[in-house]
Amino acid sequence: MTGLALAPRNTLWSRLRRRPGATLAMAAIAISVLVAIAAPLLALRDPFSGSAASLLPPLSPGHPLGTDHLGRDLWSQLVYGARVSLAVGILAAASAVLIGTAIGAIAGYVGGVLDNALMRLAEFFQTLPRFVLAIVTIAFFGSSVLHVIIVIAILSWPQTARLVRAGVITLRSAAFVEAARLGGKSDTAIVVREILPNVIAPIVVTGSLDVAAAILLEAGLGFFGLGDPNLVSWGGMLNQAQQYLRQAWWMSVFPGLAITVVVLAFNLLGDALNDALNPRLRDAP
Amino acid sequence: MTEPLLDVRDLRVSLRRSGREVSVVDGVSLAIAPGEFVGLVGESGCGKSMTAFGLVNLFPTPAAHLAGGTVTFHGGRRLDGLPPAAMRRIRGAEIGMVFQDPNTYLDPLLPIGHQIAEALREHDFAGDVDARVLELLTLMEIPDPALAVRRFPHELSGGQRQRALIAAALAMNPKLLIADEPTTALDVTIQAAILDLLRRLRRQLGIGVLLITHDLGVIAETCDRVYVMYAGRIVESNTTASLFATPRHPYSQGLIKATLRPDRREALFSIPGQVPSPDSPPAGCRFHPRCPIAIAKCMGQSPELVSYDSGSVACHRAHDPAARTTWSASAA
Amino acid sequence: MGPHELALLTLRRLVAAIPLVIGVVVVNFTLIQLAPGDPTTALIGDYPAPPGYVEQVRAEFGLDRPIPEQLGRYLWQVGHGNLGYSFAHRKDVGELILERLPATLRLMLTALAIAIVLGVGLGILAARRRDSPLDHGTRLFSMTGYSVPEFWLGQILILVFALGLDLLPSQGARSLRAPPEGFAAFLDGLRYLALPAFALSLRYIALISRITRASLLEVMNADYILASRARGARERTVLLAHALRNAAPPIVTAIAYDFGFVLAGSALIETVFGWPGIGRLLFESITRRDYPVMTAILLFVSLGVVLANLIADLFHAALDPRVRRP
Repeated sequence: MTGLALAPRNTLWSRLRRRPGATLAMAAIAISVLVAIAAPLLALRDPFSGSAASLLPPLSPGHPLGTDHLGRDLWSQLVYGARVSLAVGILAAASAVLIGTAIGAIAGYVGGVLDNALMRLAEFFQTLPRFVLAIVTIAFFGSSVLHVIIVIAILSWPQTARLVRAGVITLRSAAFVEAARLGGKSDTAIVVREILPNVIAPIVVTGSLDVAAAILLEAGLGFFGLGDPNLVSWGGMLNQAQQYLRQAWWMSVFPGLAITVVVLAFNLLGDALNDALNPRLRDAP
Repeated sequence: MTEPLLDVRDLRVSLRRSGREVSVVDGVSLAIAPGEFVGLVGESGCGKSMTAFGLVNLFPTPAAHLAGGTVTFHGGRRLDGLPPAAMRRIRGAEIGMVFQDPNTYLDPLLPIGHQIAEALREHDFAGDVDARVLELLTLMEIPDPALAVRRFPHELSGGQRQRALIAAALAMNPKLLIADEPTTALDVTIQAAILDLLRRLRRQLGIGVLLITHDLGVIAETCDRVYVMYAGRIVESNTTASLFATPRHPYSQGLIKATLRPDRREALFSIPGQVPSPDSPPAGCRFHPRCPIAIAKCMGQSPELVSYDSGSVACHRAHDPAARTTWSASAA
Repeated sequence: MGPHELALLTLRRLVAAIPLVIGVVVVNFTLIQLAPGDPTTALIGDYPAPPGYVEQVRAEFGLDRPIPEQLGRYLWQVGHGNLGYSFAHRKDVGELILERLPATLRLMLTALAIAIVLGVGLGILAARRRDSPLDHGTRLFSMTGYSVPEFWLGQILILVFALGLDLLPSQGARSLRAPPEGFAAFLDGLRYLALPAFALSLRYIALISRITRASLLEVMNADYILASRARGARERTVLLAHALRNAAPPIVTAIAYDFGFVLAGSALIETVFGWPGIGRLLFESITRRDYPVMTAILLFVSLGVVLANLIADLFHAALDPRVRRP
């Protein structure tokens, strides 16, 4: 099974690498993750410590991207902001994928009334206005990174659940699954070991797109002043830039560019993965 | 012979497939006289549908295109190389087309009356469009035409849908009707009714018909003359009666033997092997890998289509008496 | 489709939407219950309220009662339009929202109209010239448009067109000296609408063009397209009468599905441009901890999404005879 699973992954990798967009996207993601990890090394000073040198434009001595209204170094804030954006984006998307996979697998494998109820629930969650609900929830429960991750995860699982359910239903009666069942494997083992590895492709695609959506959502919350007050976030930086648009364009331009680049990278990667995993689409006339 | 309605010489159609040109119709020549009912028969994948699309230079996929040959239509007009706008004025007006699956060739979102009227409007029909649509539906023997006009495809039976498509194809009184497997997707009883309809329309309207099918039984019931096609080429042609009486090509013989006849109680026969892929056609006679009487010459040299009596055949062994009963010999 | 048939269908879909609406109210109720602190704070907001009012709220919503009864009472109160009172604005919440609604609708519907026209147009162009530079350009534009945070785009538009080039106003919905009505007032409104509407629409131009392209490409392979061409139909007829009509349902579904995001985006955009709508109201109520306004807005936005889906359903039915059947 392992050997078989490896072969398509290799071709997937080579297919991905042939797309310039995918290569760029993966490079951008790798760089931003490295920046987030190495933030303490890359930052020039404490992102919170203000100085008298407020609203310095970019390329000022000691402040390559300038300073904000409190004289804090913009580059250092940007570097630390990458931590929040990526952590929230990746953890929220991963949690959403986990919840979605579990619910989708149960719905698809058990079927019947439970399946119906869970899919209705998924449908309902997809109708809810995610952003406004997130705003109200965070406003009620208080801003913290953990709250933001939980809220985004709870609001983002249905897409994965639907995909996994569809995959599980088609594979439920496949020959190799029947064989495992006759071999006396438990239902949990069958789902986890036999079925899920075969529906991993669409999960990876939505996972990547989920990260992009989560980062955007987190930025929106930050812009609404609902980010974690103890951390620097790109959305929070844009919130403060709003009041200084007239004086300091750089306070808006750099954090916004950072969000756009990272979100675009995850969207491009998801798109490229989707194309690479669906040969039908590639060869369509 | 009078001047033919349609005269096709050396027609070639290619598919562009991952950067390579693949020939699917490889030098087909055929002619149809005015009012003649002509069949083109062959297994699926032999290029007969592509031949039909090639005649009007309209293909189901952008990868397909004409790669050579001439198509001369009524009045000596050349259709190959005609600019798109001029070709459009011929399609649906002078040459009507009917396809295999009436379920997918009708737009599900529009009433059938609208789709029949489309053929009239797009060719700037001078008369009363609504009256003409009703007249056509009556001609197609669709019950309650006034009501049927407003019906959507999903509200009609398969047979009625095919009648609606034929009505649209005949709306402008074309001189030629190309029918590509018009009965394949239908139930047996409805197949017979549609074939009856085609025969009657030919008689009544005096149109020429090119019927494309994999089913020699259908040919036997309808056509005056037949072309047998194999792997992109015509291998034999003759009047229907002569072809069934004395098929010359081993492939034609096999096809006839494979056609189930109610008066015979033999085991169902099928020619062993498969139609070769157009990507890599065999050298020489393209049928030789499946032919029980193939000789060395068949593998090296492609046979020319040679005329005899009322027909023509492309087989190196056509004049060998042993080649008249190819398959019974091998079956023994 | 006759008017009678349409009315019946609308009624049926409305009934089918009732559980969704109740579900939305239940979500609100759950939030109020789970929120840290006393539910009265969540119902009244973080404001010193007269003791009499607090008691009235406690009684109306049965806050000393068991949870199921509280839920029943909450549904009853909300169902009767009791959305609470905002002490920050000294106004009934329902009234407050209705007051702000027209500005939001104006912004949103303008953005949606721009998005549909440009999105469908770009999608058609890209599909018709598949794999051309135009197609690749559209794909890249669409991908980028989908990734830019709209509120940041708003800031950039302000920086360029309002502060840099001084072409358009950046804050508010009309100028102080604008005439109250007439063509001049309309033009004035348009100037104020331009930047926020475009900022809000970009994401949906991207989304709609992408879906239009994909849906059209799929439909163009359909047999009935070939049949129409074989009938001698002009390419314009093939596109307008058959291809676009058949490609429309997924596009409409996507627009309805993302309606909630347009509403959310509108909240952010209104904040950037000082637009006097519901989004700005939401932003203000966060800083003022005006909880009843927030839950009421959540309710309104959710209802908006349900309504958008309903309209999409009816549009499908009008378009596709197969959906109309009971």
